[in-house]
Amino acid sequence: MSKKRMIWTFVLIGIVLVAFYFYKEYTRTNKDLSKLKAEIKISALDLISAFEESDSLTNIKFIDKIIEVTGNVKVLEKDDNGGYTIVLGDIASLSSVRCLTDSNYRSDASLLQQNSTITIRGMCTGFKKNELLGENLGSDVELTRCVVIKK
Amino acid sequence: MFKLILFIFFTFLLNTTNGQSALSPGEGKYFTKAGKISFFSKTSLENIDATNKSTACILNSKTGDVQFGVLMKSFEFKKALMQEDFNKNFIESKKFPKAEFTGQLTNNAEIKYTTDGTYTTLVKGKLTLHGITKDLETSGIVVIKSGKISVSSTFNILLTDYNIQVPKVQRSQISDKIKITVECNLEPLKS
Repeated sequence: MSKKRMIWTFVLIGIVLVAFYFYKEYTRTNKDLSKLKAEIKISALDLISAFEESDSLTNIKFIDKIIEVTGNVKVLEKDDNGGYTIVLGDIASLSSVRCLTDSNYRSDASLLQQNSTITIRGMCTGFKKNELLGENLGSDVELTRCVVIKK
Repeated sequence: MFKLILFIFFTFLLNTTNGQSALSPGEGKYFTKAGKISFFSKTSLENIDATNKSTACILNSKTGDVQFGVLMKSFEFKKALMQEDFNKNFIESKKFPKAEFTGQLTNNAEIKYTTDGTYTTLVKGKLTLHGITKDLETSGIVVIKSGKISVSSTFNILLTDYNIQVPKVQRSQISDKIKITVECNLEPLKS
């Protein structure tokens, strides 16, 4: 193989590799959290309290982290598209941890019983104080891509 | 005793002349914390959509006042790279974590909240997104069924109105005009 042909072969392989990398990156979906380790383990009530005490400091500690939350199932919400949101917390309180389940694990969520204690792994996306039109609707910590770990 | 009777009489008179009895806090208000907001960007190269299913919404049926609150990071995309770009580069969700709409149903008096029915309404208010507040006027639909209320609306916003910058290389992928759809099923707020 001539030197020139060898260089062109390497350039071509390089272009294919770069194109493949960009294609993989472009089509990449969010990681399945059931296969990843949680960075923090905490109870639902402690998580709500932590955010209510100091929103800004707790934001840094929890947001964009994979966390495992253990708590009581207050409500299991099913949306029109068959997706589930598991709401953890004290039934007597308006504040909750809202866990949007990963669409691949809907069947696990559908079997949950109200008032049972479960552990969920999810990505923490933030905290919202719901004070709207002068009414306190309670505060919510939000998790997405959730999977049920223990029920 | 006479003073007490007079006080009760005038309080009753005041309430009836106002056309309604005194409201306790929360009365006449409907809310949800499981509202759905989705947005859609359409270009010849790519369609992008994302959904948030934890939107808080409250409606005061007496005044027509309405308010929504949403966490930007809770929008879910099909592609992880687009979700990362949305939070980091476009909406800057670390700096501006929430979006909020406060407004009013302008024809609220025409809506009979106690009987089942479907109403078209005009909503006027202010949308705060990416740290910028702009006036927003759109039509919506209010459905009353068995004591529950559903509100929905579809409208467009321009990214440039909210100072959301899309890098040149992505302008063919992301439209400046974004279609937003809001759907909330509201429950009575018990005080």
